[in-house]
Amino acid sequence: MGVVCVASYPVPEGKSGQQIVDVLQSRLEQLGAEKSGQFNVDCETYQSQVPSAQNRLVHLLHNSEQPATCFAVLDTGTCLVADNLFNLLMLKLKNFYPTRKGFKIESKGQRYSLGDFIIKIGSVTFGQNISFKGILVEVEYCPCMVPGDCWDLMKEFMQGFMGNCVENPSNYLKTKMDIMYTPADTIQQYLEHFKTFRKESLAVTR
Amino acid sequence: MATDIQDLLARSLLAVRTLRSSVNQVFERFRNGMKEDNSNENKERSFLNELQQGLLSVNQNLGEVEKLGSVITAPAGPLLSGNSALLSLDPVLDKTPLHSQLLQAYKWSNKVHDVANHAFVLLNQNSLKRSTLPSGGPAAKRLRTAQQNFHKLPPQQIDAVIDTQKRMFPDLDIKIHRPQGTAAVLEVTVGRAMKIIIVLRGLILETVNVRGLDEQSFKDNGELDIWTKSKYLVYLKITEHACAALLHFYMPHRPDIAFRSFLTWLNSYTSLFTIPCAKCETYLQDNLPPTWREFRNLKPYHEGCRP
Repeated sequence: MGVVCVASYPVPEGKSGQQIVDVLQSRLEQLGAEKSGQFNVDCETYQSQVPSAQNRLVHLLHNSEQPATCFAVLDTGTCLVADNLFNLLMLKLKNFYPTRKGFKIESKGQRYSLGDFIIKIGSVTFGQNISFKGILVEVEYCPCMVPGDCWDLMKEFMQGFMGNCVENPSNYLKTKMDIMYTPADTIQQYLEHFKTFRKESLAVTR
Repeated sequence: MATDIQDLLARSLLAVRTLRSSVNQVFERFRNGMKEDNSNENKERSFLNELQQGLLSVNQNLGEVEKLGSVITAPAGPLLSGNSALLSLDPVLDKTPLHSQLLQAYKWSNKVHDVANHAFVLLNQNSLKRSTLPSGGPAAKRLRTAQQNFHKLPPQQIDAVIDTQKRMFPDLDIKIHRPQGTAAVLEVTVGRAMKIIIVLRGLILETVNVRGLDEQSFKDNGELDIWTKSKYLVYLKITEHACAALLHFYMPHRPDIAFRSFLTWLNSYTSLFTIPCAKCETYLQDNLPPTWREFRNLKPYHEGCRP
């Protein structure tokens, strides 16, 4: 498990998401990256029904990179890393924590490997009608453990095929710069992006 | 015709031989002188008789030789005698460079002699010695016996050396394992960049293997895993460079210095991911960070940027 940086790639007006994904994929293949399967990160949200609690949300995320693990993240940022059985537990608690309907968001797409890097280009879909929301590019540098050590190196790599859309580490990553990276940190980054996508789409619908 | 000539030649040779033998007989008689058993007068007469007969036979034989010699004529046409005919051809002395060559060789040998004399004088003034120690002195002897023991130092001594290195390099976390008796295997964690397994024989560095921080140093059955290669390209590359460094720093006579130099070199890898290449000033080349360190100034370089 190395250091992961998740970045959203802007989709310019007049272009479809699939076109941009194709452009990114062909760039990677020209660099010599090899396809290594599909990936999928999804997020369900449960909302507390207990009146006294302050409208607490629980986000339940799965990452295909850790298929036997289930990540539950509270609004406060507390992250619980548990077995897959936790899904069934949430079903039992549905009287207290029902799912928010039409709130499922996921990012899936092609996984590439290039040297010690793993690149995942995912298109984000949201809601019941599975509408396309944007592109998330995940870059993992496997040998390194500490984000602060290899950030410049990863930035150089990402600029190689994504241009200048990544300049600084995300706010979440900034707090983790000097400690060992864990899979939960990847989930937190995804959740950050998912939240902004949700906010944007809800703002549009209102 | 040919047989005729051969016959003649054979006969004339025979004649020459008889002439020679008759002349020999005459001189033999002269040498023996007169015999002493007869009276003086008799003696003189018989001697003169014998001499006369001898001379007559010589004369006769000589006549025969002359007769045969006049019969033999030189054969018509060139004499075919193969390569042996060349023997009679004298080399043209003016055209052979013998003289100039001899002169040159003589000058050259003179020069060699002179130069050797100078060298001898100079070398006598400055006696060349490989060490400052007097050869055969007690210090030299002690040094020699100490050198032989570096591959089988007692474990306590190795521990002491490693302890001093630990103090020198705070970024290196050195753990000592002894899975097979006295030979130490070091598990060195270099900053937050990598782990390296170093197998020691005495104090001599034997093998290195570089792996990532997240890769296991121990097998499932609890044994120290020395041989499994890293799954990351960057560490495979560094393993190669570390092996090269091992050979570069190899000093069987002073393994403690080799050990320290290797650790100093290794210590520079704490900045494996954080420092760009000293030449091209980028982080990545072939998707690898600068994996090579200069042996003296420890500057980072990509494999392709090495000076």
